[in-house]
Amino acid sequence: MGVDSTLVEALRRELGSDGVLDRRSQRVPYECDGLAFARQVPELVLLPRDTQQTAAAMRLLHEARVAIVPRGAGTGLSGGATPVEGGVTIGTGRMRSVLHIDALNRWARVQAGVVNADLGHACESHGLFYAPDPSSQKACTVGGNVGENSGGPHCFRYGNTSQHVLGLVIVTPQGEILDLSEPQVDPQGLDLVGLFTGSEGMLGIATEITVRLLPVPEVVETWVALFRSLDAACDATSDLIAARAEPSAIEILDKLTIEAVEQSVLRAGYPQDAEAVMLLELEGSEASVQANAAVIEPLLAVRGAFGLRRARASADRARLWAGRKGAYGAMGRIAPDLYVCDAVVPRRHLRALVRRTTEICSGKGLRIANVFHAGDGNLHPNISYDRRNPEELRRVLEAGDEMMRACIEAGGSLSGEHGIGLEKLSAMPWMFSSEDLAVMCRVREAWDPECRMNPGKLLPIRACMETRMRAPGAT
Amino acid sequence: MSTLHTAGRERVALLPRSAEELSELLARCRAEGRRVLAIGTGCALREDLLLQERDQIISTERMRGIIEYEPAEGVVTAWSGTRLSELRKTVEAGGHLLTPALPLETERTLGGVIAAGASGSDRLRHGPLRNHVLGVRVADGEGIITRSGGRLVKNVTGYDLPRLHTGARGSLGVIVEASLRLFPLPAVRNGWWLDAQSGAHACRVALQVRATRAQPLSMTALRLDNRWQLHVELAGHAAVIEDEERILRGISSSFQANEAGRTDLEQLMLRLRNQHHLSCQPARIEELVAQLEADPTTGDLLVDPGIATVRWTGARPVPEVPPLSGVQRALEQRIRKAIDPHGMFLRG
Repeated sequence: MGVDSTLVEALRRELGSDGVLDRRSQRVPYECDGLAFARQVPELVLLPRDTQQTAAAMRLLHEARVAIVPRGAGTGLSGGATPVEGGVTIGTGRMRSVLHIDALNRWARVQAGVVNADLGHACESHGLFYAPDPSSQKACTVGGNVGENSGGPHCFRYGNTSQHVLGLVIVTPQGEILDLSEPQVDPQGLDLVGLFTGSEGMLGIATEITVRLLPVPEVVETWVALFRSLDAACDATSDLIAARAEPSAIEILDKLTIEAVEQSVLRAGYPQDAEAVMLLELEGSEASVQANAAVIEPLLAVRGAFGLRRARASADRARLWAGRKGAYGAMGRIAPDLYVCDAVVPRRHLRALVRRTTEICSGKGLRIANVFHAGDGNLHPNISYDRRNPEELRRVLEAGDEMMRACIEAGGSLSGEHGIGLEKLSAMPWMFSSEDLAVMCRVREAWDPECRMNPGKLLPIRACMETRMRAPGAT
Repeated sequence: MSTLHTAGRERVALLPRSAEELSELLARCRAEGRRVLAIGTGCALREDLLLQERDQIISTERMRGIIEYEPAEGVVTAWSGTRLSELRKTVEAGGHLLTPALPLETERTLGGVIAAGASGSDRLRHGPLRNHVLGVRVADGEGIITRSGGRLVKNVTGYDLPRLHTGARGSLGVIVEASLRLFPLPAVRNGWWLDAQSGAHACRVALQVRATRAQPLSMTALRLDNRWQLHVELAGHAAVIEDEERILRGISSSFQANEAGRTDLEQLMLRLRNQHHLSCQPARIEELVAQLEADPTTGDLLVDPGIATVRWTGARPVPEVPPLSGVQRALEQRIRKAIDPHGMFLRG
């Protein structure tokens, strides 16, 4: 079976005609996510409005044995929302309601398609905020953030999305509704919410999300420090970690990024004579910010930081962050496409690994710009390229592989926040043994025995085949 | 071998010294068709646990030691039998704070605490334990050891299986080693307390503190010998502590600095750890505590108002927790079957 006219009609009855996109011109916009070189036009795009519609659609797709790719805003960078051949994409674009804010108990319940920044705005009047802040937060959805366990600059202090998800409503691959939405101090039974978060759309679709909110700090101060070399900025970061300093974010932008930002509409006032800019944020009570500042400032000075600016006014702070958050967009001035690599390294090895990634790209004649979450050791070497040039694309992918290998050899990891998706599928065995991967495959099959949810992502097919050969219960 | 008392009976526990010995033992149990109860020291076992004659207890308490602690990184990795006290001593020497803060740290093992999903009173500031388990290596029923997560503070590679093992009470395998995220060791720590008129009063004051800029490490209200106290632990830079002390005194002039009260608190935590336990939304904690203290059968009470949990002794039963939905129950069974296909591991 597959997508046929009978199925389309049945889906229309459940979702309404505007919830089912079957014309090619309607489907083409869904052919890729932020991993632009991987494209596949989905057979059908479904846009349910709520949990019930999603469940109804999933039941029909289950009966028809059709593969499903969940999609938020399509801002992911690892190909997690790349459609699969013959499959259906289910988007959360019409599930945009903030369902409830419980200010007293500090949580909110939202539909999966609520944009991350919109949730932030909805909480503001209660003196609360939602901490995970991916760079794409003006477009990405909370549901997508759950799928990828997204991060952002402030995850240095607050942790990735999984630390902020208190509950979920999940529609299983069979179309059942698993309601785990009630915020609980500790999970009743296994921590399915924790397992689901970051599972890259392979276990079901989250339709409602209960998130933890935090009180807005009394003082927030954004710092910009300039460095005469990228090495010095990396060393300063390692020093801050070693000294157990407590800013809420430590970000680094290199010279190419600074130039791109300053030449764009996102101009943040970063001086272009610096080789690296460090963006820090300090927050808390006045006493706490001052105490942290007294620890941090001398550490930056030791590494030759200059031109230190401290901004408290929200307009000034927003301007400084706009440059960082818009850096990827600004790089569109350099080349039509951008390959954003995402890897994590032990923080004491920052300088060595940033150097190594630069060498790898230079050796392949590629232009690299670094803008990354230095405090978490989360590197984002960004390679500018033109996907219409297949030879250049080949070099980009080779460089990506080499950079990931270098990070893993240093004790690092393949992803800090973008996920594995399609992009790093082949690299999973570099980090995990076949036995490690087999456990993940078996867990996936406990949810989705037919592996219809987002097939071909995260788990290498070979590992899953080995799992089937050693089926649970086999002796 | 050592012995363990469970359900009034003395049972023999096997104590492997290494991951290899553990694997061999598990493979042997599998071959002999024995179920396995994995424990640390067994100090936090369920009281209603019933073992059959052929069931085998395996304790990881001799698999001890720090595998990696790099002070410049803020992560510690250790064998599962490592005592919390040993971990704490090591990381504090490197300037780090270990969470969770639990009583009986000399008896509690890293693996046991993770299996129990035991968060401490310091979760008020640092969050639950499950947020801090960065990676685990786990032995399955055939003795095969697999890894998930890692030793990095940020990492989303692969499914988050450490979260599945945290709180699973050993029912999905034996934790061999684990990595925990650490926090900066505060420069200053001090305790404050006030005599409260009632549990509801103690909760009200605690929630007032929660609504300020102060960020205590922990807040605990307790009723011991019919006397209510609220303990607030402050931790951080000296100037921050001074500021937070002013906030406490602004809320109630009855707050007093105290170190001696800590002993009472730990004793009560020990006494209550296997007693009735309930959590709710913070906004409901005052009402819940008022109901409990109005019950003449209620004895000691220990309340974490910021997290909204309460423990008590007495006849008043814990309200029945709604059962898992059919969908959740079936899914959990499939997950357990996927990870432990032979149903070897007992929930401790």
